[in-house]
Amino acid sequence: MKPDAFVARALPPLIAIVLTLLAWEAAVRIAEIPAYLLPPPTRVASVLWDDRVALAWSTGRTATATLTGFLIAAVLGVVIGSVLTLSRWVERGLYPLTLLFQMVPLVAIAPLLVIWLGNGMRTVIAASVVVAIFPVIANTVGGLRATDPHLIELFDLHRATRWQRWRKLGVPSAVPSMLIGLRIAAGLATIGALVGEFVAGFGGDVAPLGIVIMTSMREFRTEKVFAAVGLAALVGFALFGVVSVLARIASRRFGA
Amino acid sequence: MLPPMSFAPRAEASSGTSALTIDLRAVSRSYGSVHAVDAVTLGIDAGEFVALIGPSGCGKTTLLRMIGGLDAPDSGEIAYREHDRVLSAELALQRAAICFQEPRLLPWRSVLANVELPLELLGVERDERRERAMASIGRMRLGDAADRLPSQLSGGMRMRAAMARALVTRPRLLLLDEPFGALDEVTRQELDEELYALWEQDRFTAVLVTHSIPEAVFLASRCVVFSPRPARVLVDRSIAIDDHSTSVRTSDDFNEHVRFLSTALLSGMRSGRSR
Repeated sequence: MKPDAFVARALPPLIAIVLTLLAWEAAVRIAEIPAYLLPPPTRVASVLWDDRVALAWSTGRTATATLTGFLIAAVLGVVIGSVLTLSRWVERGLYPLTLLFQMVPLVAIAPLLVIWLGNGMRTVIAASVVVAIFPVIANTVGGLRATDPHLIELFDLHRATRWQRWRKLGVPSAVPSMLIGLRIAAGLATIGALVGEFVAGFGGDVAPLGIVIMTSMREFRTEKVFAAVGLAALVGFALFGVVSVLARIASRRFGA
Repeated sequence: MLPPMSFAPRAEASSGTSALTIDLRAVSRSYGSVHAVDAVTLGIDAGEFVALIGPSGCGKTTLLRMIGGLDAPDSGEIAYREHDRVLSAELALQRAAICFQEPRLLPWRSVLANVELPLELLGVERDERRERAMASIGRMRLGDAADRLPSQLSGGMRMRAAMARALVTRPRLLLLDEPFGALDEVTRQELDEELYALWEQDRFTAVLVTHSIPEAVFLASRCVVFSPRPARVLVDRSIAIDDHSTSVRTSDDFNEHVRFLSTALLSGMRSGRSR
């Protein structure tokens, strides 16, 4: 991208963000809203600065859990999605079940994960995987199913094995669709990690962002809640950004 | 002479280079209540170039797909021979290739990688694969475009790439389903001429489905005209033309064949309608 084009695309959202923050600051001051209800951005910023070391560590932990959860969900999702399309019978039998699983709210599963895996990072990662994996599965299945039947016939004609057909035709055709799933999963992995932290983030030397949010809330340090929420959003945004860039490179490579 | 063991065993177990003889006996195929092919009996000799002509939807493509093993007849039999030896369909079709109406290239692969695909699926090693693919690309005069993606090629070049892929396994049987139907007339005649030259060199058995009678007369050593659905043989005519440059298309001899086959096709369609 040329620098001009970059400015043209980055500038409008930046302006929108700055204007929003200014309006927020002004509204809080003019209406004299107490800080424990809605702190002005300047106070959030000063907390971010004062607690920068501790918050950086917390962000690091949440980011680690998110990234790990995302990667596991990505690999496992592609594998499960591929297995589901191996045969029509497997797909018919199991695919509705996976969709059903998706409807189970994570918040309800999270305590179960604590029972099974105990407190700590493992449970947080598991929660992240559980939330992030379904769009990967669904989009892998969708992509593999949408493989051009003309090309399948070509592979049949040359007597390709099932493995060859998956590797050389199915996966490359499904890549654009898989990437859509991964982008959705990137956002969801962060949500899953935070929910996991709410129920199982205790223990360990460093409190993850989910715990920072909970404890700050109890102490009525609303500005710190905002700071932690902002950082959590940043983690999700960063992961989403990386996946989007990879997606753009890959889709150029796979011509879709 | 072949280099020892350099070819994939599965691919070239029967690496006899001779073309296939095909015998169709009373072959029928229906889809539900639609009779696509009705008791067609047809012998195709080794190294022959046969064109199947008929009205749209008459079942000639179905016939071609059955010859290529992509579809199976409901009744009747298709036998493949190499000289006097009867081959199983599996063995015979290992060295068969089809050119479809669409080029069917993998959009994410370069021309070279597309042409390599059949060899790749047979387990041919990388270096040999590349060498044979480049040779095939060279024969189709696509050498300059080997590294380009299909989306960067013209329609004619895409078809050339598909032909290069079909020929890369040195097929003993080449099935052509309306291969140049989507191309403009000049490109089409150009490719017809090259296809003929390739066939003259390699002498594989070729079966061509086409709507274009001039194309059939130009390419084929024998033209078979089918009735409207269900396909039955109306006319079976040998074509002998000495000259195979594009200019032959205006000769009297050529046009006599075209006129004869057109008449046969039209009368078949009329009687089909009055039935």
